[in-house]
Amino acid sequence: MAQIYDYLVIGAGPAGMAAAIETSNAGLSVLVLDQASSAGGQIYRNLGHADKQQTSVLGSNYGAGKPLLECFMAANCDYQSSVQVWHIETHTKGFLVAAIVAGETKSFLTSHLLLAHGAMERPMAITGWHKPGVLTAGAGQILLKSSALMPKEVVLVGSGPLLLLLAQQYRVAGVAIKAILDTTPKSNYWYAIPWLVAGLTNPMELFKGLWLTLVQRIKIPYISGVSHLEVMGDEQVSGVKYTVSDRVYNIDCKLVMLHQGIIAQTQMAQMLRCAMVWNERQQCWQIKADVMGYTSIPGVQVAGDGGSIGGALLAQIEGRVAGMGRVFNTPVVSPWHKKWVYSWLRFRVKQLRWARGLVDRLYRPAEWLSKPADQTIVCRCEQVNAKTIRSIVNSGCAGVNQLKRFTRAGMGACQGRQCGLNLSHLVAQTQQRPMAEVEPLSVRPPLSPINLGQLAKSLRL
Amino acid sequence: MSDFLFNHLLDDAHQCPIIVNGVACQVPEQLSVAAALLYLGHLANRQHPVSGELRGSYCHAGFCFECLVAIDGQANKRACLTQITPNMSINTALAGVN
Amino acid sequence: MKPVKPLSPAYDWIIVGGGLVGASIAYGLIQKQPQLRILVLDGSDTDYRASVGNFGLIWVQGKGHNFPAYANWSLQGADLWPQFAQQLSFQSQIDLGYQRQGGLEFALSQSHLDTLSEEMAAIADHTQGAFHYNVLNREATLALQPGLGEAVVGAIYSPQDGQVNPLYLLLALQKASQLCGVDYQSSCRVDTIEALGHGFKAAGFVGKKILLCAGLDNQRLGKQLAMHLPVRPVKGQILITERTDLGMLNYASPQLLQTAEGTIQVGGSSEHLGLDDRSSLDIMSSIAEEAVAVLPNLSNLKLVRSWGALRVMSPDGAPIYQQSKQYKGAFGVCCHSGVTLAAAHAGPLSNWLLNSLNEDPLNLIEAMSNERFSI
Repeated sequence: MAQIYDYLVIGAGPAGMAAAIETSNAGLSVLVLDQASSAGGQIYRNLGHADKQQTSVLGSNYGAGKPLLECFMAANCDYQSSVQVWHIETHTKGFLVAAIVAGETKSFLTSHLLLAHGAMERPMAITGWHKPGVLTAGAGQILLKSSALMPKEVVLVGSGPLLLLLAQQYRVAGVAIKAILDTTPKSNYWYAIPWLVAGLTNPMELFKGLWLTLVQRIKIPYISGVSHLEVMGDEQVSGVKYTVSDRVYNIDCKLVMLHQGIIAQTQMAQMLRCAMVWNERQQCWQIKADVMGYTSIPGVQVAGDGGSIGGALLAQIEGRVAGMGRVFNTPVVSPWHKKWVYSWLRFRVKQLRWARGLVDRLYRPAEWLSKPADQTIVCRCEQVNAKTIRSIVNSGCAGVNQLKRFTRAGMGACQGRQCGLNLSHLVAQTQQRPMAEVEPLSVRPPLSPINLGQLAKSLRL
Repeated sequence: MSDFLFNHLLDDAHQCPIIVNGVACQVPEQLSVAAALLYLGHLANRQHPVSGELRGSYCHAGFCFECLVAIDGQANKRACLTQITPNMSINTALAGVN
Repeated sequence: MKPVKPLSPAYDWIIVGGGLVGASIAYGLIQKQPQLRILVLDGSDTDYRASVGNFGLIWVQGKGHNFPAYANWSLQGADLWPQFAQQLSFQSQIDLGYQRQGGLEFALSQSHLDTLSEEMAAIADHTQGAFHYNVLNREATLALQPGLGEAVVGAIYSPQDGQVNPLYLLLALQKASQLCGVDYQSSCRVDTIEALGHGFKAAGFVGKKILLCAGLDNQRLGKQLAMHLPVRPVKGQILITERTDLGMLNYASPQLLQTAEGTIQVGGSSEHLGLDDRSSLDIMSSIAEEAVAVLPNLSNLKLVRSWGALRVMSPDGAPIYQQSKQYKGAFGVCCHSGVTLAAAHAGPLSNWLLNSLNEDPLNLIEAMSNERFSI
């Protein structure tokens, strides 16, 4: 009989690590499964093994994860790295998590589940984004953190804090940034002014953000108000075409990195049929959850950027709150703890989420980016363009799931991660419905590929 | 394919031997397979099964499934989630290469 | 989307349900009588849709071994398919991926093969020999499909079986019907149906006749029109692999099927779990186990998709074609083989709906009324 864990945490980023520490300290049997080869999540990726030179390039926020990472590594919980979770289902004993570990299929049982799998970059479907030589800014950072690799020369395109952070890191590392093409709509700056009050409640971050924004503008060819982007090139990238104030420009380059913010990952929760909500402020779907992270499915919690985007510090606090939530009604939590520590953390969650509103409003993606041109490939896996999608929606299909069946968009290996949001945008625009009324693409196993042979041998619990 | 577009941050990194499309190469240690391919100048690593267009690694986080290559004989592995090991054999899926 | 005004004059037909059954009949009716005003009311994006969870077989083997009318009806439907496919793909300009390459059902034990042979003999008997099949031993099966695993003891082969892409079939039916003037309303939930004396009212629309093709919802809606339409959900789970070389599978099979894109569909499960279409590890794993036992080469192929879908099943598995006794002009069609029977539904069944008894000389449709459950 397989062990039934008291708490299974998916993801070893700030939220997952904090929750695992909290619950294992309380004496629960805890298992943490993580996709990466070392703990830390995207933010502290490879922090345990990073070279000094890497750490200095990556900046102080990166190194700040050290204490948490050390505390997690010392915690009395089971931790498995390089795990590909491909399926989750409800089970008579709680939840069954099926995964591939080192080429072998493994299944884990748990009574409670925490989804702390983090976020992903918002897909930026511009014409030519599928050509070799286009990467995401997130990819750029991962290459720097895990592989200490950086481009010789690059054009950065899009909007959002991560793009600016990468620019800063690349600049320090000596990368030639040919240009930053900023797609942030100028009106965002006006709309963001009322949110300054929220941002001021987190003055340190606000200051860092302002500094980051200004420095790049001074030190790098910085072009703002960019629209109508198109990646040029036949087989590979040869340049980027863009428009500023109705004038069209070209810039030659072989590498482009795109970014327009990050969005919550909802695949696992959707597979469990947790309720979803459209977050208008963050322009993405989210797993519906209360302050302790409990979703609509009893026993399933979410914490960190996988729930609501808020960054590492908020994720860490949310992870702690979720862990506390798991052990809340047990004697290990003292009344004092319940009253003061828990209340304080809850307050911090609310406050930091509010403060995040400034970033959300300032870097809200430009509307034209959710309206890809007809020839733009929206579903990369099945090579479906916006024209095909629009014509099928126009013929009267009910929503994205119907659309998927008729066009194959969303059927590919990425499970709709790269096209789902844009398909919904196209449905909403064509049917003139608000996004909140359009259903997200449904999610079915496998979340990551598994051979039929491996599946045939899957341990049934 | 001899266009080297990426640098390694550390000058003194240990080298690791790998085999790409049958050619023995040296790359810095601790790279993912996708990073190693970029380091060696391979922006494209496969052809799209529908259109035949070239595709290359995109997100490096396991989301996009663009970086599929054959690793040690196993087809369609995500290069970004696999770390290189000494003498690993990597084959890109491009016409005329295999 | 076509704008449809709720207050527009009465339709001749309102079809509740835009799945394969409703779409085939809408298409059939408008072909027979182009002047008809037909409205199809389709459900929401996330409804349980049997039509899109379908395997895509046009399958005569095993249909109606215990029900002669169903056996004849399935065979008739399969025989009508070639002409139906040609016409539909011409009108819609959509390639349906239709092939009648013959079908194989693999047996992994002698007793399974024996059971299958008995069923085939019964079907051949019911159809006066019009159903053709062969019981193949292992060697004969290998001659048709190389690469089989040790566990395969034989198979049933029928040249009358085939396959189609069920999603493109549905799309083509919707497109062709709309081109011929059928109105189509998506995301439209029908809560109640009102009998008005001169017609029926559903979701604010008024039609002279109403046809229920709402799958599992037929039971609920049928009651409102005094029709007993006993259907319940039977879950089937399906796995899809990545694309592989075309020609890996030479024949259609309910266990394994290669699509025109090159992916391989694996299926064959059956569970009674109510309204639950989630995938489960134990079933996915056993389906994969059987597939790999049949064709060991599949074991290195990656699974890219899987899903569960709810079949619309009557107590004996055969379709139900019913006119309400109390409300003339109200009909119900329930069936689980919407692909195999698509041509029959667009052809003879549509005629029957228009002219009632005259168009059912063999009495096949009448034999599939719900009366068979009241004995």
